[in-house]
Amino acid sequence: MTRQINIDDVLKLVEFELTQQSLPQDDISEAIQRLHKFQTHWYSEVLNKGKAPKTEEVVHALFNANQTMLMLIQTINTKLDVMQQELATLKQFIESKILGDRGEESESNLSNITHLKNLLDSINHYLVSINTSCDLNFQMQRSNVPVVGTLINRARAALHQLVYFYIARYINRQNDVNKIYKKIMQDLVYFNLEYTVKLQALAAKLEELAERLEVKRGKDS
Amino acid sequence: MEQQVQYLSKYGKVDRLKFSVIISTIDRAHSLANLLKSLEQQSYQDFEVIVVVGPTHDNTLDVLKEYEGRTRIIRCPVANLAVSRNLGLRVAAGDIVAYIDDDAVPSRNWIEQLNYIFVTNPYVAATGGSVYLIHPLQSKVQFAWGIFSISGKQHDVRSSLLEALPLEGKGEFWTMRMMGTNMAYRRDVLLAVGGFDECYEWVYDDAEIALRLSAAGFLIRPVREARVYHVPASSRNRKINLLLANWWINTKAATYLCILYNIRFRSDFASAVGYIKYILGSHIKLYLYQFVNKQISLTLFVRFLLKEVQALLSGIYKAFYNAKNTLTKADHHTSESSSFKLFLQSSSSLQPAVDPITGKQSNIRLEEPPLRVALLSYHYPPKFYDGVGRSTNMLAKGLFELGHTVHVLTHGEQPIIQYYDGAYIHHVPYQPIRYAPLRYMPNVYHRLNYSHAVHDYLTKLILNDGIQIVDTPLWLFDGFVTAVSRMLPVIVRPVTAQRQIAEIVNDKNREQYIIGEIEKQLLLHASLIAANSRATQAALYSVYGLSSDSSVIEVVPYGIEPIAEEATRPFPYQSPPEILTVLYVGRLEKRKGIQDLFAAIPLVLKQVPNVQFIIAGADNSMNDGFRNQTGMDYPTYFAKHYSACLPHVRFLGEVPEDKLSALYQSCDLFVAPSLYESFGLIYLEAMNFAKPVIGCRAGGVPEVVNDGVTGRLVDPNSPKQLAEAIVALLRSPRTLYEYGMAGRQRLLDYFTHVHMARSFERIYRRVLSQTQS
Repeated sequence: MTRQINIDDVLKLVEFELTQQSLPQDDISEAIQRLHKFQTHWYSEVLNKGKAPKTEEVVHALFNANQTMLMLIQTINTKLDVMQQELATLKQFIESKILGDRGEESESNLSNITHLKNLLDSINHYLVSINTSCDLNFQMQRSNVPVVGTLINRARAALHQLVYFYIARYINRQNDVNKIYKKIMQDLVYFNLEYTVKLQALAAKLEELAERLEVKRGKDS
Repeated sequence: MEQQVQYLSKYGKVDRLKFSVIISTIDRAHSLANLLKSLEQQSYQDFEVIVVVGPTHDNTLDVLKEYEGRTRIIRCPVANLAVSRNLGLRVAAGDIVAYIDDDAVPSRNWIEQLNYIFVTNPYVAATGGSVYLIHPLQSKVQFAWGIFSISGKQHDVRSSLLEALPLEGKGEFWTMRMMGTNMAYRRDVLLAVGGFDECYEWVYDDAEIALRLSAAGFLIRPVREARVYHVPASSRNRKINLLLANWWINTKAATYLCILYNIRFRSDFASAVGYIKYILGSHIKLYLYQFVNKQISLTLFVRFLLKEVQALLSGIYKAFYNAKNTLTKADHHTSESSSFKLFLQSSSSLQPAVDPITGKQSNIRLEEPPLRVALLSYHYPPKFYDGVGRSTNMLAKGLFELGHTVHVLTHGEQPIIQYYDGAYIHHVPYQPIRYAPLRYMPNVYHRLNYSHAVHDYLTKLILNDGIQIVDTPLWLFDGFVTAVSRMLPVIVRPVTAQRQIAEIVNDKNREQYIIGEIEKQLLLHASLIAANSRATQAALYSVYGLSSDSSVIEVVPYGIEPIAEEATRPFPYQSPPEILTVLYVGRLEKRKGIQDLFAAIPLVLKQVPNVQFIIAGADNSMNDGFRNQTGMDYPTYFAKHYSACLPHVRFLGEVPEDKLSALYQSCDLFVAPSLYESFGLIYLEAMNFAKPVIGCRAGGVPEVVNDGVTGRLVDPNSPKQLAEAIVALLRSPRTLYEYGMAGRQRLLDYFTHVHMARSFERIYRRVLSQTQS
């Protein structure tokens, strides 16, 4: 037999939803999925099918992917910033409203979120680095290699050398950018773990408070 | 990179930066005055105001005289926005320069939040918040986030930055950008990149500077909050609410930007040309549309086309031969030697709230800083006029007249903000995405989801506008989630509660029971309950079992805005009309006593045949069970059972608000035999027009209608008594006049919206002082 919902259930649902407010919406996952789809599509379109790609097309595609990643990271970073603020607010709320009668709690491990801020700062540092590194397009120079003349074979060889030279440059630069992405992603994962730990600590604290409240109610009645 | 860190590192440990707010203005004295008044309300103290006045022809300088000594006024000889912004930048003495348009007003915590962003993140070189367009018909989120590319493409991002991902087309450099009316920069950084490009005289200056900063490796970090409310006014370049504007300036700017960046950064040429073609083409289409629809003459049409061609050529020429950085190193010295004058003064904190559209402020001299209140009401005028919406509207208006800032949160499909009757009206949309276990109780499910959306919105209002207290009706329990969260003190205004109605109509549905329980919990979580009558207070004790130990209940009668004396229509007792008119206003339902009125009508007509009854209100027979019982709605029932009386009765159905006044004015007697009213606002409406009233001795009605002085009271469910009272009054013209006049006086003495607001102000202050202590 199913029990009918009563007002206590409604209140618990409200409290549950209030804690859910801190969790991020899942649009980041959706964006990563879209990015992945885009990369796959681009890969098959440019490299596997159709005519051979021009260097310029490859560069454009790389550049777009970088720009997209940059925006994605910027969004994640903004969301993390919001989370950090919410965490601080929640912590302050618990300390002032609930733990008010136990001063020693305010110095607990809950209050130590300074390193999270440092982490955000470092992410911003990388964002600035990417802003300056993602300038593949700006580095393109028109070739001054002569294409006319009698020594056609030598000119062809020179052209090939030039192409190798630029491709090597792009790859090196892209590698630099990828390293930065990797570092940011590592930091974001680390931050996520930190955040989960904080939330678990808060949840445990709330549970303890709920038990204390029950005991107090028992005594009062 | 090192250079950027060098610029940015010195701000790292400062908690409060100095801000220079720069306003560029030409011929908008009225809007500028509103903005300056609004800046007095800023929560942040450390800021100066620099007004750069262009070649103005109105009373702008007179407006500025009032702020002499605490604003810096710079004259700009040309009508060029970028030149004007640079002039402000040159003399700014703050660490941060914040730009706002002269036809906008900032939220209270605007600078406070911008400061937070710069202080917490030393890498941020530029930021800005969202912009809400306040307009009676076209309100919208004008700007939330935006991204912009070197070939002039832009995406306005409404909900998520990821909407436009992944980027397509050929590789382009994209950057986030801010809107010119809400943007802030570290002063040194802006000077370092040469300030604004003065080739942009009206548009694109804000987007281009973002491109330049970003390409130089600085971090641009626009945010959702730090709101600015934009109340667009006409300017020399554009007529507000019309499509008439100097659009060719846009063409020139777009051409200049696309070509310049193609030269500098070798962006994709085809994209740049495509964008210029798009801009030019859309302008030509617009002129053609205006010409075909006779909005502009042929001469003007040709002139506009020539202007477009001229702008195109001018943009190309400037890009190739005239591009330059405007500010030099010498400007750094000018800037650093400027003196910093604080805008706020000791009296600023006592300035009453400002209407951002008209600039109206309360004349009352405040002795304490004004309050910042959030009123909740699911329905709200001018879109909906129900009892709760109307009383909330009157409270908002009264509070504004007492100098307080009022924000009303009401339901809406889009997240827009309007300004109406002294209050910012925030439309809160909601999606049923929470409380899934309650889906089988649709009313509870939707109302809780809405209440949660309201709660989320309130958290933003705290950030932006520093809301101190929330006031919610019990009806539809909008503020339930906020009350449970204890985020802010919540005052509850009970009216006729759902549980009372369920008892009256004998509804024993489980969902109704849960709604009643939620109402009870809202009351228990309230910081204070403001009942509109002693009857409501007593009902709270009896219906919800509240006690004076568990809840603080105060009685605060409703009030309405008195109409002008000349709009009243006392009964002309010296020359009474041939046909007397009795008016009923209200839903046609059992609780409103409509069946008693039906039964009384033949009794009245027997004794006073020269009377007509006007019945105004929507039929509610579907919901009160009447149609189930009889198979008919109320007008059909009347036509069938009282057919002899039909020539004397007119059913008007639901009457729009703007036509109700005429009905009140034209009636001689107002009758509403409700079986229960928590207060009886409807009687006050009639008394406002100096009309005598008849009601029942039920609920709060005896507290509004003074029996034998302003009208007559009869027992509920008593058609005979009702008929006798109507006949007695209709036969005594002198009494109709005297009761009407006494009713009007009673309203002026006790029941105006300002009386009500004063009582609420007292309550709010008391609750806030208790919360703080």
